[in-house]
Amino acid sequence: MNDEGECAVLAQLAQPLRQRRDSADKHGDKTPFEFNDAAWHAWCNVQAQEDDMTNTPYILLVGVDFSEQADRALHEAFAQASQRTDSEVHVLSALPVASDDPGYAISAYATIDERPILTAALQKLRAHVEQELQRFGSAHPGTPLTFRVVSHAILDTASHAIVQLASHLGASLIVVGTRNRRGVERLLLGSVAEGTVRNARCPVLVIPSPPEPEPEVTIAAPCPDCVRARATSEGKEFWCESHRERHGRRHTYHQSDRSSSDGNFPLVFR
Amino acid sequence: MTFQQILVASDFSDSAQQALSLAISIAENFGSELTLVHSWEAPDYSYAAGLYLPMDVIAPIERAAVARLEEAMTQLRPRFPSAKSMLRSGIAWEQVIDAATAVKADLIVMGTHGRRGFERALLGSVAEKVVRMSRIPVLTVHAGGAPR
Repeated sequence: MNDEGECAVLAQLAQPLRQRRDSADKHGDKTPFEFNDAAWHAWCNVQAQEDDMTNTPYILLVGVDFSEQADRALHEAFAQASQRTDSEVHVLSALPVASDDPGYAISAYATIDERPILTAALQKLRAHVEQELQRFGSAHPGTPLTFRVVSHAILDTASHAIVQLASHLGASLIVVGTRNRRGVERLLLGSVAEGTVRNARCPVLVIPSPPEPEPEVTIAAPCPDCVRARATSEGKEFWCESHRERHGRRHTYHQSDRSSSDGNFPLVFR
Repeated sequence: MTFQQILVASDFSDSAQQALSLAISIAENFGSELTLVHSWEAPDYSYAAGLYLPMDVIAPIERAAVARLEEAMTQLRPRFPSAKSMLRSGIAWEQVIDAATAVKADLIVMGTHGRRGFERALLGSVAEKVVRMSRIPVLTVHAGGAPR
């Protein structure tokens, strides 16, 4: 964003977005959405048109947390965007809010400036998105990359940030990745995808992570000593010297040993 | 990355209709096949009636489900001639995922009601369960449209 040359390009490209923001303000819609938090990527034959506002572009929003699942979602969004002529891909990285932090009380007094944090996050995100765009471009050589890409960094809970930004942008589609958490992990860690699906007013495309391979179960061969001990004792002894400790003594129940007088007499142990 | 086989899970509600419209536009875009699946569930009378489950309790429900699906298909045919339909019975989310496997779908499209609070606790979301359990991408569509 500090780059002078790029800044000029960005300002030109940002025109439609700024207009949209301004028109939202005119309608008395107080948007907390900061334009400065968004930076445009100059990519390929991007041409900012003056009349961009008249034909509404197809706006995709992707939530990204730099994980493999998020990258799958990002690639899916690129693929969807390249299907249309006029589309924008907005990439969002949500940073945890200070109030989620146990040290919130201290940080609130220290009056930490959020700008450097957001700028750093935005730079990281932009580098990542550039890299993923390159990867997508090389993975799909025939695909025309005519869409625009915008990065956003927002201090908020992930699902809320996604849904809120989608609302501000008037997004046509939200794309999110998900980890297939199960059991306790699922109880402890809420799913961003789930929150997004619940709250979003626009369609949400959820990209699952590929199924994990089943862990291979290795069954060891029987202990040769035990096999020998069983053979030599003709079944009376199951275990060898070293395994006897672990398995306890062999015992056998006999139905005929029940006392005839008392039906409930416990089974006799030999 | 293109979707070849799209499964639309429908309960014939507003959000399901919107999901269907979106699925049709995607299918037209990608030239993919479309399957409409509806799942109905028989009320569980087995506690009361034991083995003597009156069969004519279930039959009208199934007939109604068939009728609704046929009605939906007659509406769908002019818009998307090659669409197929599938009727299933059982727990909705299980049936949706089963159906997706059966038709080798690579995308599930379904509506969501987006219930909150008390309503949410009572009526679990089928979409949520499908999103959790599915191994293929799921596209959810909310009926609300504009934010509240």
